[in-house]
Amino acid sequence: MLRPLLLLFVLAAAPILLVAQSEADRYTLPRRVMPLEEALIRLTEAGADLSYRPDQLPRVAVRVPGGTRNLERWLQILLRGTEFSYHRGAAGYLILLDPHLHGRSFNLYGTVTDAQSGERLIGASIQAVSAAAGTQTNEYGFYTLPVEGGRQSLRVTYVGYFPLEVEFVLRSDSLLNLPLQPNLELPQIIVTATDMVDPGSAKLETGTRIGHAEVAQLGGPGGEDDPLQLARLLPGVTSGSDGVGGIFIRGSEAGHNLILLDGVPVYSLSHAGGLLSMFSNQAIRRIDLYKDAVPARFGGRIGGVLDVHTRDGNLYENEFTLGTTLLSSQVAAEGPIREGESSFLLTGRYFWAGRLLRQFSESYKANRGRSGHTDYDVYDLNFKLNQRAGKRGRVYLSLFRGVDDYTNLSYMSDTLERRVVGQTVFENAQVTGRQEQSSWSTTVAALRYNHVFNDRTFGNFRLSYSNLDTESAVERYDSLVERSQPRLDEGFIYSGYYASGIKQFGLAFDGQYSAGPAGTFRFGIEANAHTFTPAMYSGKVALRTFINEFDRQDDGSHRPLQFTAYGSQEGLFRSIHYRLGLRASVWRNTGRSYPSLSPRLVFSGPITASSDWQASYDRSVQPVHLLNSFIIGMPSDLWVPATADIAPATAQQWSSKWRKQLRGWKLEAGAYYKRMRNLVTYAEGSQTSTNWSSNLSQGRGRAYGLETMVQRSRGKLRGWLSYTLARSQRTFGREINQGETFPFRYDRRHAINLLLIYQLGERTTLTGSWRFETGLAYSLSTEVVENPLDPVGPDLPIVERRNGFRLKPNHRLDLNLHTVLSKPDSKFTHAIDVGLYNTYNRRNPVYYETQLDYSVVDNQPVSTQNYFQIYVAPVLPSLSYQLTFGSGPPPDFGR
Amino acid sequence: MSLNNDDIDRLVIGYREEFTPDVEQGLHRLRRSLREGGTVVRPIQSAPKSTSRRTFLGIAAAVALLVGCLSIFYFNQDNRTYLSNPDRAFAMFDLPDGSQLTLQQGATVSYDADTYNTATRDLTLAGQAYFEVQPDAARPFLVQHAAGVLRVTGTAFNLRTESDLLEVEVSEGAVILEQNGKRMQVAARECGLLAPGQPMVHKPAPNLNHHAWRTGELKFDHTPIDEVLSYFYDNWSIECTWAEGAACDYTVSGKYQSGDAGAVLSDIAKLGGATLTPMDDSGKRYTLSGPCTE
Repeated sequence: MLRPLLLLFVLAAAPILLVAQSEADRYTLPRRVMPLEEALIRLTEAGADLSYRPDQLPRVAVRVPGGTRNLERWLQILLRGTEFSYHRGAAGYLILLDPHLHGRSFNLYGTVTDAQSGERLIGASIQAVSAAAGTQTNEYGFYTLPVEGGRQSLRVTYVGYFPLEVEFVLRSDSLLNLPLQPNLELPQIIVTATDMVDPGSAKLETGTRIGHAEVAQLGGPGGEDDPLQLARLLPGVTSGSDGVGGIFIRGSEAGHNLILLDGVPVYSLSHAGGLLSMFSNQAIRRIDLYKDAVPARFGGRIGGVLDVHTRDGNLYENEFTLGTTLLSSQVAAEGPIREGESSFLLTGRYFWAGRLLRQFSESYKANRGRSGHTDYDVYDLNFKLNQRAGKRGRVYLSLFRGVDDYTNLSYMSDTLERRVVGQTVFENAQVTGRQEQSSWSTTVAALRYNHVFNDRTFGNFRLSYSNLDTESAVERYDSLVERSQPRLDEGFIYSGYYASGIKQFGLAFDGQYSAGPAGTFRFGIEANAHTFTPAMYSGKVALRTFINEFDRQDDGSHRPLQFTAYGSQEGLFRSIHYRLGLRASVWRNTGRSYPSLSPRLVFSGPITASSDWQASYDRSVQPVHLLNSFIIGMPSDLWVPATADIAPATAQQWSSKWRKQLRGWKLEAGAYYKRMRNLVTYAEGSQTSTNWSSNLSQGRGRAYGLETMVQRSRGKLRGWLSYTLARSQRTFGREINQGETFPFRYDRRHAINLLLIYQLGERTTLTGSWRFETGLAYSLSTEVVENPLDPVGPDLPIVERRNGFRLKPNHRLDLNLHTVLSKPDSKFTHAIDVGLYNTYNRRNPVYYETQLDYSVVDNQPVSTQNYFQIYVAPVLPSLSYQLTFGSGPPPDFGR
Repeated sequence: MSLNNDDIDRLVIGYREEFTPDVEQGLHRLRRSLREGGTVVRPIQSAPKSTSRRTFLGIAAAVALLVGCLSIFYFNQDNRTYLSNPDRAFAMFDLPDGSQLTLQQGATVSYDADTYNTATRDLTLAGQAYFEVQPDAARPFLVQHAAGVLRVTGTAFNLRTESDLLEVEVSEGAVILEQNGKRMQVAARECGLLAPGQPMVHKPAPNLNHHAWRTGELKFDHTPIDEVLSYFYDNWSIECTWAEGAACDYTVSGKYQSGDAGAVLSDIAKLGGATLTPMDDSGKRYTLSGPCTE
């Protein structure tokens, strides 16, 4: 009887005993955020048998939910965000590093931004400190980096910003956005290429960065900051005198450059025929210039790439900038719409110097016995909006419009002679007229949406519109007129009318997939619809003839379509970094399709710890052609599409590079060979047809050269010296130069560029730039004859050899003093530039203009041809002042 | 710190001021002792009832049951009373003045039965013991050692001696260490060290880890591994050496209450990513080896 009762009691009591036992092991913690170590101390103080290594424990705060739990549950909660796990030891619980985390790779991804403005930073370097792994942000500031699990620290660096080191515990694929603080004091460092010490994919960053701040230090003509001025100081990059004609990269033509504004192709780069960049430095974040090893995502041109990124606008503080130079006035406003989420940027420039030019030119011409004036209206506008779209996306809207409108009218009449024949008096007068009008406007719009799909995949969708409208008209006459009976005794008249309209609508997707240690895959698709409406008339008739004739609607417009897909894989094989890319494209116009494949290969590897090599092969295809005509001495560029008769141009480039880093110095030497096919040019003297395509000649070209550079990017005196030895040639059919090979107009045999930036104070620099280039290859004609096939068309200039005459070498020294003044607590910042353009007043020839002068010889009027060297600018002062005021801290140096 | 006798008296008066002695109980114990005659020495059967000390209490109970087996060496030649614990983890004793002591295995205390608790309470210690000294300002409790003298008038402390070392860690009250005429006070949760020819050492001991051989409790707070290992030697004479002299450098925080020194040592090695290997069967010699995890 007793035994069953006892059993019953034991059974009934057992759960109570168990509860009592577990209650004894339960611990209470308060509900609050506290350091992890404090929470563990509280548990040990409460009696938990627990040990850990405080030297290992991360200094993190944990959000303790409060309550009473057993030890294991508490440890689960407390260690959740750490790399630690708990184990039952022989004498109690041990907190140990989670052995499963180490050796596993997770993806870290996010964006790198300016902590003050929220601006996304392109090309920022992110390196895992413990491993030699690193990456760079893409053009949207996005990065993805495979990192081993556990406690890790990242080091993020970007020129002009304080390095950021962050420590964290990686337990899974994680989003980590990294804001960098601008370094207001540290002098900006000119970076022309990515630093070799950067690990990994940085070796494949083949673009050269032209930063906003560096451009501000260099200054420009009239005080106008110009990123292209800096670009032209790079080896392998040249232009006509003082920039006229645009930018020429490694012997290719201006129309061969791919110019992208926030990813959208732009058909024009400059104002004033190349003298000034179309892109205001106020609006630009940076420009990446590619000469070779062009990533597969760029295509459609066979020259270099100028990838222009505009600023997003400050996400946190309002800023307003007013500025003026000797040429223009600028205004810029930016700020948050909703703080941290959306912002706007509006910049505008108006070149008021054009107004002065009119008055100045009127009196200038009057003093020389002419009537007429020169008028030049130039402005550009940038507008950008960006808005966060959910946690993973951002929408950007960017708009750009740049307009040039140039008119030059000049008329001169001079009594030459009075003759009496019988009863009749003949009075002859020499009448010279010049009428030049040129206008071009560029409009670019882009709507982009960035989306982070997951830790490995990033994508950008783009809807774009790009438009270029150009119109040039010229009329010249040098004639002898009989006054009493107005008739043309003898003379020369020439007129031309060129118009070009391009519209491009595009839809594109660009993606990036990180396959961890296996590398990064970049891929995308694009569809573009174009409308080209080119028109070209010229002849020995008055200009009004063409204007009356011209009707764009009747002109045969072309509406080509282009579809493109590309992919590239970046990775590391042993010690060699590689990027293998392929771009496939189809261009369809006038019933004909041109499919093309463009492989892009680049390899890079170390030679020693401080030196490396790079080799690349690029093939590129360009289905749009830019027809240049400089015969009339002013740009009359005409964009035309590849048609059934005109094949797209193609180019192949083999390039190699050696780089060495020596303390603060960097040495670089590179060689390239480039072959171009299906280039297009006007047939000799045949700019007379209304049907432009039937008078074109297709040919080939080759360019090769050696580029060397020594650069110093640290210390008080920074800059670089470069020397380029290059050759660029063209060979066309018999109609051009008898089929013989001739030099490219901008074939510069030797080019030396020197850039020196001296840091005078914390925020003051003195910059000197000197450039020397072999003179232009120029087609100098000593005689003009009537075209026997087209007597109405313009006379043909007789040129012995195409581009057979070398103009004088170009050289020029520019100086600029740049300083930024602001009081520590002031919201106002003053940026002042004072300088001299063309310091020693070198008259670099752009071209030679011919003018007929009449005189009387043996009682008969006789014409003689005179040559005038046209040059752009003598020594000119440059001056610029910018006042920025904002609600936040003073903007960074160089703004 | 040097103190004169007045200072000591003041300290003693202050010590346990709020303590109300159970006079009746004391008298009862005294009478019972007198009834039983002979020496007043006998093992104490009671011990603190902390659940954390359950293991030790079990051992203590066994000690009480085996009281007859305890070796109490009593030599009449020099009239000294020797108390020793040759084979138990620890054994508790009452002293004639009512003070209590717990002797670690291998430790011996001796005192002169004739003079003890007359003018002073003089004794010597070889080994390690825990003392709970009855307050008596008139009869200082003195532990004589080659390195110096420990003077107490009423307190609780752990005392460890080696031939040339005296180390006291005080859990309650304060003690005075005397060496060559110099005096130094060691207060509660402090540790004092005397060694011949060496300056007196005085350091904090907030965790009373020198009591672990008796309490079974080790507590660390950012304690360097060298110091952690020293407690194993001081408490249990466990020697740990790093293989090939390649010592890891890390700190330990936490609390152990198991009383199993080997298990605790094994866990501590694991924290540093090291492996603990016994060098023999004694359980007193170990090698630590392995990569030092950061």
